[in-house]
Amino acid sequence: MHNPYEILELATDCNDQQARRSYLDKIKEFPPEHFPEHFREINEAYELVKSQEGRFNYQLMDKDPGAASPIDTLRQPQTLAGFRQPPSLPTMREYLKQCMKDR
Amino acid sequence: MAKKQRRQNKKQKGKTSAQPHLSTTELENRFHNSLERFAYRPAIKFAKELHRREPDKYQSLLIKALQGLYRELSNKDQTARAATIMEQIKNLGESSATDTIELSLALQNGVILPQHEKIAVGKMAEWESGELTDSDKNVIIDILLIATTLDQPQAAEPVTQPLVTDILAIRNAFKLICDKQYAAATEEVNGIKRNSHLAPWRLLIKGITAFYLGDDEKALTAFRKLPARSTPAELGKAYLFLLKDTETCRQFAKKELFLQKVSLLAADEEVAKFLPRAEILWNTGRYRDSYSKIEPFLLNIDQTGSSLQNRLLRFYYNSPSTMNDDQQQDYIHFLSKKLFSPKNKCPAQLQAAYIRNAALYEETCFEGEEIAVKLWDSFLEICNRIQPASRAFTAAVYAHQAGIFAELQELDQDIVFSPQKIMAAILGDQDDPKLEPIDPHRAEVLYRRAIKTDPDNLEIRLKLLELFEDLGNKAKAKTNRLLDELIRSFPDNKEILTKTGVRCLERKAFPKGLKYLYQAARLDATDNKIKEYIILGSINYAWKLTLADNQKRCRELLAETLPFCVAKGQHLTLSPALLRARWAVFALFHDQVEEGKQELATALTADNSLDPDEVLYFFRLYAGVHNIPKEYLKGSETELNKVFRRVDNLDRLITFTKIILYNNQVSENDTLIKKELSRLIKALKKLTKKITSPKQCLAVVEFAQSHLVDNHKLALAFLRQGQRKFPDDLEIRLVRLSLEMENSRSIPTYKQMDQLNDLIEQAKTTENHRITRKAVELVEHFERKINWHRSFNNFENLYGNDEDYDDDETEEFDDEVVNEVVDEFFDSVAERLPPGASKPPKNWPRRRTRK
Repeated sequence: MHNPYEILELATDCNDQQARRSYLDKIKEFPPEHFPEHFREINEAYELVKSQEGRFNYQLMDKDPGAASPIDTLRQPQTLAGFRQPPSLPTMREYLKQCMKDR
Repeated sequence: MAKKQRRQNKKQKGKTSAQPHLSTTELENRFHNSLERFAYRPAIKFAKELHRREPDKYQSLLIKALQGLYRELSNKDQTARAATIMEQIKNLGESSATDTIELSLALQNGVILPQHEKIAVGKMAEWESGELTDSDKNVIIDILLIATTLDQPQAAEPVTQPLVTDILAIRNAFKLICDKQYAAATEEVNGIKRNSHLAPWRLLIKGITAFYLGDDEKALTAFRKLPARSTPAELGKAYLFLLKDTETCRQFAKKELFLQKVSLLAADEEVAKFLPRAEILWNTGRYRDSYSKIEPFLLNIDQTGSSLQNRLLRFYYNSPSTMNDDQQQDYIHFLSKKLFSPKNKCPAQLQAAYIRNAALYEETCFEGEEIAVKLWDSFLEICNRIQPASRAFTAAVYAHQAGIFAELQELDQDIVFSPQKIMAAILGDQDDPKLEPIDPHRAEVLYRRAIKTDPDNLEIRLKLLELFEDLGNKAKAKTNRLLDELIRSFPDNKEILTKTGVRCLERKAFPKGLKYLYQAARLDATDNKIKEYIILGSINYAWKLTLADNQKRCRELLAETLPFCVAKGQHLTLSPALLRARWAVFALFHDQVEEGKQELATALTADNSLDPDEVLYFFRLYAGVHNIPKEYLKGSETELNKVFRRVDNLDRLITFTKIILYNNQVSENDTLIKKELSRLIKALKKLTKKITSPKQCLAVVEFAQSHLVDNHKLALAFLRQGQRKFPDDLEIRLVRLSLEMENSRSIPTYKQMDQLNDLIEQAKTTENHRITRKAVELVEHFERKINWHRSFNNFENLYGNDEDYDDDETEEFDDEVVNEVVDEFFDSVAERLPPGASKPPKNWPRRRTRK
């Protein structure tokens, strides 16, 4: 499962109001009709961190590796539309070079 | 020696195989044949011979063959050999022939110099001349797309102008994508025509913009459509991998070079240096080596570290929970050495993550509680080193420590092997084990410590309350004291008011309990559970007042309670009609006939969700169980007799079943309940064929299977009828099957198990998850039963066949031998025991499953 703090872009020492604010911002940004998967993830994340007890419980009890393998830690956030960030232009150029080299 | 000679001969033969005896025409034919078959090496031999004879005429043929071989070697990644061929072409002095090859080499080496870019621009002039192959054109486009010195590639000929425009569009589109202007990027490439050499690039850009906009379907379609072996297809592969495209993952997940590109695209060059290797090592089970690869990246972690650092930290430190025991031990040991070695200065974040996982691990080990608590203390200490922990967080850790001791475990682990237990297990009739906290005293101390640290934390106090409640009567006084304390500290908390109120009612302190419940109801007027508690408390209190001859207060109380009633869905506690019916009973108890009649009359019309016959039946039973004189009930009895005679509606009888079961809970009159049961079962049997829905059928079956009724014949009769009427209803089939299997004397038959498995398949096909789950649970239950049965039979067989059995021999059995045999049996039984019922383990650490 994704890290709820990462999904909601929250600091680990946030309070209930900050969690709620961030949750509302996120569901506004990713409405269910366009991003059903992401919306579900946002709801699940909020359920975990909406109360102080929940946040502490997550910080103390989380046993989930969050990914299936090291490369999956890179791929996991990319599975959600909101987390997809394009590379910088030099990196993109480098990526193009690499692909042209291996073609 | 002979071998060496043979090798030399072969070499010589190779050198002299230039076919000097063949005519020029023959050589030409053979050259072309070889070239058509892509057999470049023979083609070069023929071309060389031709070139020797007439250099000017055949130089182009030789270059063509060399170029072919060059491409072949390049495709096979034999760069060094390809470079040698390149040298040969250059030595022939034909610069134009080597241009595209040089560009290819530049691309392969990843070093694009301004001169290469210039050559590529120059080559555009030959675009339409037919001299450039498609492969050459692709190389030129690749160079021009990543050219850094050329912002405006100049066209040598007007004919190449559209090409220049397309190249610029693609270059701009990439820029726009990196600036997150996805719509503009798509717009930019819209002008590229379908027949353009850059059409695949246009498709790629569309795929990439769809990817970043979250339109996965569109992105996948675009990337999959890209022509194979083209640069755009190569670029699309990493995106396909990120989109978890099955085929791409299958082909490339283990290829380090590919993973480097993925890392570059999704992170940066630094990550691309270590993550792919770490991935390969992890996937081959070399967890320690994999960790060592990423360790330098984690060593500079801080509070504001990148998300990837945090994800990797989470992955590498939480993963032990997914490993097998040996791997876990090995990996954890390795991590602890790394993290706590005096030479190695590790960030506290890593140490905290390690300690936290170690504590969680110890919590699951047999007798690991004390170690776990110590580890949590260390965790807190390290957290304080990173940043002073808040009171709330410290209290949460203490509360978690308390929770370790407050966890429930089976009370009677030592006597798990009693004969009764074994027989119960064989027959599958095990009672629910009695559970008690592991160490209530330690738990209480730690909870108190947490409360002291954070006195405002209600959750922790509620956990302490839960601990006391788990202890039941042993902590009754403590529970009450804590509730009083909670009421004082949190006077406006609905949950606490309700809990305290209910506890007071249980203690028969009705006025106090009702006071708290009224307060709770004022805080949340929509909570029907509170209303239910109020009504139940009031009814009990009213009966107490009735017995104490305090009719006035009883009336007042019932009048106060009426507003809490809700006429909704035949709820036998919340219904206003049934409260009135009870009121009538209390009045009749004191011979207040008029009041009783009046209340009953009001009751019959007070609740739309209940039929007057149902209210009357409730009244009759409630009056009966409260021993109301029969003369007051004559009228209602006569009326009910009529109801039973004319009843042809199964729904009515189903409500009656609920009423009878409800009244049985407060019954002081067994005879009446038995009589009523008999009458009701008779009426139900008459209506067996009147089932109109599976729900009706299952409601009667539930009633028939209840503890009070326990009438398998009635249940089976309805199930048979239900199955006949609703053959597709899986629940009826499942209930019938389970009933038949439970009733079989020993273990279920193969046929029954097969039917159950068929049912699971059907439930899966129709996506009926509830039935699937229930049926799977049933299969597991019966499989356990069968295993027990087998173990029991094995136990009997340990003594040999019956034929060999000799009474005299058994008398001479040595006690030790008997003990051995019994031990063996117990061991075999222990292996089959359900989780949580195991013998105390001999070796540490051994997993224990907690209830």
